[in-house]
Amino acid sequence: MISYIIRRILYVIPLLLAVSIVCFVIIQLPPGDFLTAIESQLKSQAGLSEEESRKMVDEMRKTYGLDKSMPVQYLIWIKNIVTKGDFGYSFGYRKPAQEVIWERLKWTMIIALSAHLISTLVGLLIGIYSATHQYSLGDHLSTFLAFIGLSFPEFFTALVIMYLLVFRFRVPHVGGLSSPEYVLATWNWAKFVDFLQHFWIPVVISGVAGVARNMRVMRANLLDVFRSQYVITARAKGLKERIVLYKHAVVNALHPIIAYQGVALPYIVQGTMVTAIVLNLPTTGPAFYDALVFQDTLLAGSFLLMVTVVLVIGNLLSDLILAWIDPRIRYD
Amino acid sequence: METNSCLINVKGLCTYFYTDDGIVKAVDGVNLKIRRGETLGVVGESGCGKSVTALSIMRLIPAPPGRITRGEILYGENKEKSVDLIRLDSRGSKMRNIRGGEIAMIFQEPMISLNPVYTIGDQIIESIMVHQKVTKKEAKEHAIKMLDRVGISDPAQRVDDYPHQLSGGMRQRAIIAMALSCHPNLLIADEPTTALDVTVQAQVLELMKELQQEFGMAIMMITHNLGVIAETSDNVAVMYLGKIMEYASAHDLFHHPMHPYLQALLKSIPSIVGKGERLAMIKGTVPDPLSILRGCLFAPRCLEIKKICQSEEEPPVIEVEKGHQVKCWLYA
Ligand SMILES: Nc1ncnc2c1ncn2[C@@H]1O[C@H](COP(=O)(O)OP(=O)(O)O)[C@@H](O)[C@H]1O
Ligand SMILES: [Mg+2]
Repeated sequence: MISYIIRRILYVIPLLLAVSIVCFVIIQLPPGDFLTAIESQLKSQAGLSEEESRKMVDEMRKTYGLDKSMPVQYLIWIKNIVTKGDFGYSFGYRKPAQEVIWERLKWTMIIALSAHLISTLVGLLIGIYSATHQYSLGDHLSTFLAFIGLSFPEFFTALVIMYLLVFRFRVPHVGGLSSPEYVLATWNWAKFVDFLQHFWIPVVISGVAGVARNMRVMRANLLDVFRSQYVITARAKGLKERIVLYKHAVVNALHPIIAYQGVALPYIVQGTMVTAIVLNLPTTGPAFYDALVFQDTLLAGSFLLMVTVVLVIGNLLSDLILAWIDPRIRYD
Repeated sequence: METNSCLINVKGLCTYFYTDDGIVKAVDGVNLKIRRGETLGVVGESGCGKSVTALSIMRLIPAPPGRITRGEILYGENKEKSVDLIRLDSRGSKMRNIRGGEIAMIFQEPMISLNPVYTIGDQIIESIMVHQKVTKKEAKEHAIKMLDRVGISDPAQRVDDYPHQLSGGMRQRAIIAMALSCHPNLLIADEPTTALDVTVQAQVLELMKELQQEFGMAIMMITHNLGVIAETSDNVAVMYLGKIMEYASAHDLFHHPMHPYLQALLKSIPSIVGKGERLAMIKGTVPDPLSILRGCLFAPRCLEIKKICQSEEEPPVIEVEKGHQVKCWLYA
């Protein structure tokens, strides 16, 4: 097992390097950069001549290293990340990219992980119920709801929930993660309650599709596993049905759910982007979107890099968990 | 036959599957008796209801779609104490104590009969601990003893192996060890050697005979291979499409085969047909289990067909010699 873990971690390093190059190249692909926009601003708004503004912007390019060739820029960027944890400068926010990222990534991760955890747990439980009560009313109902849950786009669910809260239930403030009066307050009980009142909305919205998905996967797998010979063997031993279910069947039905965890995490981080814009959340999604629109190159690249790192780490973790529950993988 | 009391006495068992396409009468009026310590062979082409008969005795018929619609399965040698397994709650504690504790079952596919995520030791220990009041340590010692007994070398090491680390033959031995760990009165072996190499088949059959002597248990040996029947069985039931066509001692069965179906089966075995003679095939194929046949079920494939065979009347069961029954118009 230890050697398996080490092997898997060693694989990750070259993968991360490759991924960082791809991120950087993709971000640099569109013509022009942030300073192109500044240059035209200088011309139109500050009234400088073409030459003067070009000169100023070229100076700035030099200070920020934007005049160098792409490979050199990449090397500087990655060297600073690895040695100093410095992701470069965000022109848009006028502060270091990592400050923008950390601030937002924190909330993104909290919301994404909560949504993820809840959707996995609830999805599994409903899936187990459905599979053990196949063709019952409850099974039909949850299968139907899962279908609905998967078909509704997230932003639409977000709009519907906001509409209901504001116009039906007269909730004074939705969107964001706190009411205006608490934004600057220090953490106390009232602020915490207010936070929870805002927090559940994005969690539920980004969780719904996950619940539906996990439920369907779990139901299908468990029904398969129920037909397998070792489950019949377990029953033939005289075990209680509950033990047959949880000890022998569920464990073997978890594979695709665990394998999905690694992929789902960054998907949820990214996928909540539209929801986050609709709900006005301080997460990475909207900021990433802005950074792309305004060619805030390093910030966008850093966001992309962070999301891929989350993907790679998520995959690593799910592989390790799979190896932990399944001896056939770890003895390979 | 009446005088000797039986360990298990199946009377008029009917097990039907209510599928979307119609009713499959997988077992339709089967009578079987097994005395203590004896081996009953159940033989027939695949799909004739052998496994369903076994699973009915174990009360492991998947419901829905399956249901035992009629009959009795009397278990226990003495009249007052015998129970009708059909009247027990299939998930209740009484049936669970019998299942695995007093009637054990092993299955055709050793490769998939053990749960891949637990060691064989864990799975044998689990079996012991549901039926006997022992500590885990004692159970493990017993498990090692059983593994040793079924001919697994180095059992103290092997007990911690996972199923995928054993060969097919070794796995079937481990499964036998698991089934016998609680000293059952009856072992139902559903094609225990079909999936194994010929040499390993012979070893496993030999082992089962030895263990039968040692533990004094009865065996219900299910197979489609008349050679296996010849090796192991005292009495034999020949099944076709959910019904028993012929029932006799192994000696009578091979020396005076009565039913045209059995005669045809015997003619299709290379070792029984002499060198140079043509191997016969049974005309046609096993009919679709959903098709509704009346009268003699074998008539469409029978070579000795008479007028009455095509009538809608079911052929009677005729006792041609003492203890030798055949369900065929030819002997009426
Ligand atoms: N779960 C099930 N659902 C529907 N039909 C079944 C089921 N299990 C068995 N059958 C049917 O019962 C018949 C007998 O099957 P089986 O007892 O497994 O045959 P075999 O003699 O090869 O062991 C077959 O026609 C099979 O299709
Ligand atoms: Mg079978």
